[in-house]
Amino acid sequence: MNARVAGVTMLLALSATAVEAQDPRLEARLPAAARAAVASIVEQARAQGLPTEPLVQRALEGASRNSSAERIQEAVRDLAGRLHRAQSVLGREASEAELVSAAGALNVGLDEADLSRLRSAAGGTPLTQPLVTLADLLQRGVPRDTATSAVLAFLRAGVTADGYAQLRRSVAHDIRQGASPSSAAHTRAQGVLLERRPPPRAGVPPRTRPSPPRGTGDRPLR
Amino acid sequence: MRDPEWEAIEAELKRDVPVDPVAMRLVMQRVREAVVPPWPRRAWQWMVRPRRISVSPVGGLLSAATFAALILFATRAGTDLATGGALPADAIAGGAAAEIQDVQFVLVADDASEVAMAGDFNDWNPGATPLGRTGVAGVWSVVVPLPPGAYLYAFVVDGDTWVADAAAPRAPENAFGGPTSIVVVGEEL
Repeated sequence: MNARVAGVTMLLALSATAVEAQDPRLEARLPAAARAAVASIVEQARAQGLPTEPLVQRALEGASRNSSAERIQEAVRDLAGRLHRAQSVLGREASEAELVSAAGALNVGLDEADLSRLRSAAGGTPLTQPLVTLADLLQRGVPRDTATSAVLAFLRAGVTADGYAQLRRSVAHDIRQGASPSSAAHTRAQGVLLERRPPPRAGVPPRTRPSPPRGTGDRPLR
Repeated sequence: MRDPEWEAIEAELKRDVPVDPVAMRLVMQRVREAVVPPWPRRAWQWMVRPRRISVSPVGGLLSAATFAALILFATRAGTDLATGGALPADAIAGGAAAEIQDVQFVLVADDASEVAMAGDFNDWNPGATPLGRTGVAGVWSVVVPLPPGAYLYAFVVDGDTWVADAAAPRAPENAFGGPTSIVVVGEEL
């Protein structure tokens, strides 16, 4: 019995050592107490077909910020779990950037159903910019429904990266000026969408502009 | 109403600045070390990825005619188009290098004596990418060549103060309690 326990312990120690040797950056920068656990999480992620570089970078970030070994392990494990959730919705063809931004969005309040709706609306369009914008809006206090509706409307309208950047900047500006996050996001999203419409032709009366948002502005955008 | 800080950032973004050689070396090293999946997997990923294509009727007709002519030519010449061939490794590396974009980062920090960047592109090494003073007082800047991707980063002021980039989206990762920003490079919508 003792020999069997010793054998298993030795095997585990050897495998941990082998795993630890996978990435020299982890060995060089991480607290000793975190190396084996982080390397093991990275290897499990690799076996699942997940991108591993974001996990290594989170660990290195923790080391640079002088975080504890426990905090680093927890952060890397949490990110690996969210990357797995993101990949289960977006599929294995999703790029590393899409998975990283999706995992981030899951961290600030989005769920798998939201991700699935975004994937459907995007078709083959990359989702990184939309997800980064969505996560930025959520962190600025924009309600999830409002932020998700805005980004879905952008995807359906084929808004470019500049449009997403314009939305982020103008919403941040409006909030600094005292606007509510909800009305700022709703109004600014409508503004970007209106700018994309072609100018009215001669002899054709222009469309009526939508009324300004009242209250929470949680209505879906059209 | 004009914001002086934004005006300073805008002025700096319009100015040409030299590329940071340390960051360039790190990025090129990363590109060389990048593991390229075998060509059958790349080809399969390319084939199964959905795309939205816009084409005019005339363009569609021309494309169809060209495709039909190619099929006809290949059939007559006895050429099997399906065999194709993998791109040589040097061509792949060249393609990846060609997609690298110079990204300028600017921070307004009036009282700072040194500013650096740490992020996913330099292994979060604050010593790898220092920012230089610009012609505008209190404005620091650096240009970092980056391959396509999403990168988390933060500025490090005077070696110990972590600062987010006010001009960039907030990164949705805050496991370590500090402010973090995110930049997306090379994604066409």
